[in-house]
Order: sequence, then structure tokens, then C-alpha cells
Amino acid sequence: MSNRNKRKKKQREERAFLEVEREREQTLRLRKPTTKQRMLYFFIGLIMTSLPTYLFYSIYEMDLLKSLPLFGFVSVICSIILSMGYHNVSFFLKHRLLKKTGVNFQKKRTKKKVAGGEREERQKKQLESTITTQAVSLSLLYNSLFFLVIVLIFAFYITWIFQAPANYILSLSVASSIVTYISSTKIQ
Amino acid sequence: MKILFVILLLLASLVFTEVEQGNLIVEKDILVTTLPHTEEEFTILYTLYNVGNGPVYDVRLQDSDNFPKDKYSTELSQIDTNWDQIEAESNATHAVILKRHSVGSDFLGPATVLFKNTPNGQDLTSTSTYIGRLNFTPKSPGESRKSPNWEHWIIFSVVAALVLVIPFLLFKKSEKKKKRLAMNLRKKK
Repeated sequence: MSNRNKRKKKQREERAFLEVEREREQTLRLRKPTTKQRMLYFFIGLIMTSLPTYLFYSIYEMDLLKSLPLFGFVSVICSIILSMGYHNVSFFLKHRLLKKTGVNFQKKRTKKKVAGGEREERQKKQLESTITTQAVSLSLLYNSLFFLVIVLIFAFYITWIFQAPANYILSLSVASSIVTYISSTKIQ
Repeated sequence: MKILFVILLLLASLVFTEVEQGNLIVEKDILVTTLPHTEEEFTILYTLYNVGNGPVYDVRLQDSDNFPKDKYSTELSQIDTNWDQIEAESNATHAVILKRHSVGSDFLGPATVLFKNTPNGQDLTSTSTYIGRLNFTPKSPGESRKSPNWEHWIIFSVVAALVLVIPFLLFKKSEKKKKRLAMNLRKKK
């Protein structure tokens, strides 16, 4: 093989390697949730954990004032675990939805200015943010429903034999852990 | 028990119509659909029937001995009470809400009612019917789980549905916008 062909082959390999690295960096950047996303996931998680709390207060007759520290502590911990699950699923869904659109979201590095290029970039950004909204809302819906179903099964069919406080701790923590674990397997 | 009580009432009314004086028949009843547990409220209802043909005065109901304070606590009203007068052929009721705090078995005997036929007359005594032996056991964790609790489930379902519907509507809204934007970008290519 001539030197020129060897050089061209090497340049092609370098370009391919750089593309892969760029994609990996973008993936890693997207994988970390923003502060806004974290707050949203935590807030939704808090609402979802307070729904079974109402059932324990009304059906299992747990005293609200006496059990308030327990309710607060368990709700906060489970909300944090659930928020990780929400982000995992929204990250996975966003990647799938981005691929499904068939649009190339990577920025083209060209020296020449392409006509209408800025408008196209703006539309791509809009599409990306719409897909993010879609992924987040689908993740919230799916994970919340999954969490509620597991909590109800545990609280009324599996761990009901324990005293109400133990039942509360077990059902909520197990449900949030299962949801987050299954969501993390999707990413892998 | 109720049939016996009605028969007693009829007999008493036959016996005491000749002399104008009052006579009390007292019924003591427990108003529960299932046997009460410890730390669970139950209601005792006392009904005093004046089956005589004259009023009774200074009526005093006494039943504290059957519900000692170390085992029972009263909610809202006292066990012992009194009435100034109960007219002939009328009745009076008194309800007490109680709660037992410890596990155990009690024989809930009859209450004593003291009354007078004249305002300054002698004290006469009447005893009520009795409830009998009650066993108080703690409520098991499965019991509240098995009862219907419809209103709690309805509230839970409504709030859960509201919380889940919002992300679903967001998803549907962004789906339409996404399709429109993706189509525009593909056309330009």
C-alpha cells in the first residue's frame, strides 16, 4: 500500500475514533441530570410516596402526629431513590426517541456558513427539548404507576402481617428500590 | 332477651295500673356490630321506661362499678347520671361511649337505678338488664385491611389518577409538536 493510501486510512480511522469519543462525551453529559430535572424528579417522588402514606394513615390507622417523623424520613429517602429511577428511564427513552426521529443532532463542524443553517440548528434544539419533555413525562408516568402497584401489592398482600410502621417502611423502600433497579438495567 | 323484656313490660303495666305510681324498667344494651377490641370505642345505651301510671322523681342511674376507671375510660359523657322527673308512660335514654385499655374479660352486669314515687318519698331501686361476659382482645393488623374502606380507596384513586394524568397529557402534547418539527427538518434535507 502506498504512503498516501496509508495516510488516508489513518486519517479516516482518526476521524471515526473522534466521532465515537464525541458521542460518548455527549452521552455522559446527558446522563447527569440537571438541577432543574433533579428537583422535578424529587418533587414528583415526594408526591408519589405521600399517596401510600395516606392509605397507611386511613386504613392501617397509624397516628399521624406520632408517625410524622417516620413518614417524613421514609418519604424523603424513597423520593431520592425514585428520582434516580425517573432519570434512568428518561435518559434511556430520550436516546431512543432521538434515534427514532431520524434527524442528525450532532453539530457539523464546517468552515463554510450554510444557508438557513442557524434556523435548522434552532429547530433541532426545539425538537431536542420536545423529546426531552416527552421522555421525562413518559418516565414519570411509567415509574410512578409501577411504584404504586408494587407498594399496594406489598402493603396489602405481602408485608401486611407486620405491624403498620414496619409494613410502611418495608413496602415503600422495597417498591422504590425495585423501580430504580429495573430502570438501571434498561440503561445497561 | 328483647322478647323477655317486652313480656316483663306488659306484666308490669298490668300489675301497676291500679295505684297511681311510677315504676321503672331499665334496659342496658351495647351498640356494636362486631365485638369491641381494646383501644376501640363502644357505646352502652341505657333506656329507662316508666311503665307506671304516675311520674317518677329524682332518678339516679349508677353503673360505675361495672366500668372501673383503671380499665375503662369514657369519651364525651359520664356513666352515672340523673333525671329530675320521668313522666308516666314515657322513657329516657342515656348513652355512654367507653374504651377499654387492656386485654381481658369482663362480666358487664346490671346497672342500678334509684328513684322516688313522690318528690320527698323513699328511694326505690330498679336494676337493668345486663350485657354479660365480653372478651376484649387487641385488634389484629389484618382486620382493618379486610374491611371495605371504600371512601379511603376512592380518595386515593382520584388523587393518584390526577397525578398520573398530568404527565400523560404532557406526553401527548409534546408528541404532536415533535412530529411537526421532525417532518420540517426531514423536508429540508
